[in-house]
Amino acid sequence: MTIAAMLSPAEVLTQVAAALPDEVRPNVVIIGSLAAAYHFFAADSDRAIRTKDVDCLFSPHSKAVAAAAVVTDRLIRANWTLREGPDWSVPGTKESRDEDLPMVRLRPPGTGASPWFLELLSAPPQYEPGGSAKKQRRIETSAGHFAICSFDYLALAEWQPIELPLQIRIARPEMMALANLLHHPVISDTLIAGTNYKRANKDLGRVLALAYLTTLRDRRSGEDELSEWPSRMWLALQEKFGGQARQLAANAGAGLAELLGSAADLDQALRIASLGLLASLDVSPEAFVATGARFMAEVIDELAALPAGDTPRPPLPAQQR
Amino acid sequence: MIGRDSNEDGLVSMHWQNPAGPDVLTEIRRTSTVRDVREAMLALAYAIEASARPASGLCIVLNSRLSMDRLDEELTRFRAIVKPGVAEHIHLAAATSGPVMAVKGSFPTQEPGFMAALHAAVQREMAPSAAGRFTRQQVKALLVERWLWGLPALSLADTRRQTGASYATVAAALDELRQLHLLGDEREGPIVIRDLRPPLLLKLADEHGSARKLVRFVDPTGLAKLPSAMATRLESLRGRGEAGQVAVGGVLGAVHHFEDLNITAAPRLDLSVFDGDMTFVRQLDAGLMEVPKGRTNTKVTLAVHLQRDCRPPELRKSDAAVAAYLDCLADLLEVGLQADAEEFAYALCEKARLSA
Repeated sequence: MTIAAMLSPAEVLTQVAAALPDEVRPNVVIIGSLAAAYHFFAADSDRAIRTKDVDCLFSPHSKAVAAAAVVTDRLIRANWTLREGPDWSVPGTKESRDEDLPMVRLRPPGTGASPWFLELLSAPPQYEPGGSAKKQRRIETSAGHFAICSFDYLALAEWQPIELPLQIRIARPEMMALANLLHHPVISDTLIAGTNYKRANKDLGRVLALAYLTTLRDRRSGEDELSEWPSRMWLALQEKFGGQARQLAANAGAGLAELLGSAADLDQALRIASLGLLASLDVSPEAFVATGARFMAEVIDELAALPAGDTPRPPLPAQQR
Repeated sequence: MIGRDSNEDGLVSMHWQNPAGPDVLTEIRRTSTVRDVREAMLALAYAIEASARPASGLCIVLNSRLSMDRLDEELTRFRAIVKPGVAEHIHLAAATSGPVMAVKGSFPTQEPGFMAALHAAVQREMAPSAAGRFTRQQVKALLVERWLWGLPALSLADTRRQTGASYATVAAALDELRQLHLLGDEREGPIVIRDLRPPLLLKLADEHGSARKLVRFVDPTGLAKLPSAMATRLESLRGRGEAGQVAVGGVLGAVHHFEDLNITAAPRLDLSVFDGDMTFVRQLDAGLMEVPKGRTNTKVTLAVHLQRDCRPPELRKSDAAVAAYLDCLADLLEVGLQADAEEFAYALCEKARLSA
């Protein structure tokens, strides 16, 4: 895995927001590590992260294709360039098969090569149990044909995203965590392209990183944000997945439990998290294990218990400082 | 049906009401002295005589150094001197702990319901927190705690009832208090503690603390909740029925007892656990990890003290969430807050003196 440069989340997000056309900004939700880093580190200029991609989700699904086409055209006109490499640098044509189309991955203009690129994604359509979790749609731009894809559980990123002063929105950390949890009910052997790292270890390690950062913030602010996660997750599951919500809530922790039971996978998950969201922190393996145990008890167990009562438990009393 | 039955002649650990025959009164003793065994069998004989229903008596001796042959001999001798009609209803057995608990000897019945109840009762008695039940220290702690609260003095018999200790243990505890000049020479009547001064109270608290089993927990993330927040969480668990017999001690307990105490911020949460059940710790904070024995230089987040409850029974219901004065004081000493402990001891002694 190539180690990416350290980035300031506030600077990158400001650049992205400025590049987006005004009319599509209401349809954009930034997700992934940059969104999380902005949420946790925007006020702290000493904190930086490593990431190569900035994930830009267009929502709702019905407007995603049109908005993505507008953005692609506008950015290419503004000298953003297609990400180099055989898979990404050549747009498709109307004759290209859908599965052969490249994703939209654009690097910002500048004198040197930007360390990051913008990737466009679509909010998923209405959830249908048993269908393919990943869906791809064609977009036509002045530069050629591309594809944007969607994943079922990214619907959670659309749930009450956080409005930023930059006039774009970022996904809530707990919703990104839940999407990752649901996406990996087991630790599969699927590797991240070009690495020996398991995709599940990266995504589930991200969940623990988000939990760690939330706890860190809670302790500093005296709040108990983490305790609010289960009830919000349950509301979002009901809103986005209807009748499937109970089953999803009950099984949300399966993959993470498997990760916590495998020293090798957990070690890899921490290594990946330490190269990304936790890059400016020194989180020990013991701390990562403890964070996992805490997350299972305070979030996963609580989430699994919520459907039985069908109403969220009241939050814990405010912590005394 | 099972219950704990006390009468004027002593304590019976378990009263099993037999729907199809004589009840079984069981007395469980952790002892290696013949005198205690004889006393327990005598107490059972009186209890059988006093029982409204036909009853048998069973004395269980826990982890005793007395051999089974020796116990059989004692039972035979005891039966020989007790009147017929009672003698044959007295039984004696030994229980040993280990990977598999073993109970062997003479039993009034092998009925499965009774044997299951008996195993459960023995298991409870063998729990780590129960280890101090019959010690002199426990007796002294109860008497001192009562004095600190300004409660009426107990007789020797009442003391035995409240602690479950044998006569010999109570007598030995009283001797130790006499040697500290806390009791007079009188051998009858209520046990009245004389004026207890802070230095001696600190010494007693230190001894009391040493008799407890300490289990320490750390937070490897460095992100543990503050002790006060954990105490709030514990109260919430208690409300949901997810925390057993546990009380908050340490700095938080001391400040609860004396609001005006000029005491430092709590460096950790101290809990006194009376039933040996620490499963609530995961609910309290699953990120905490137990410190291996012997490891020092560790910043402890949670200290659990497995022990018998030395709070007077009449106070346990009204303030169940807070540990005894003596436990809070012992916790302060254990943490190393000597100056705070001295101030707390002074406040306790002053309060007791004024209420005397």
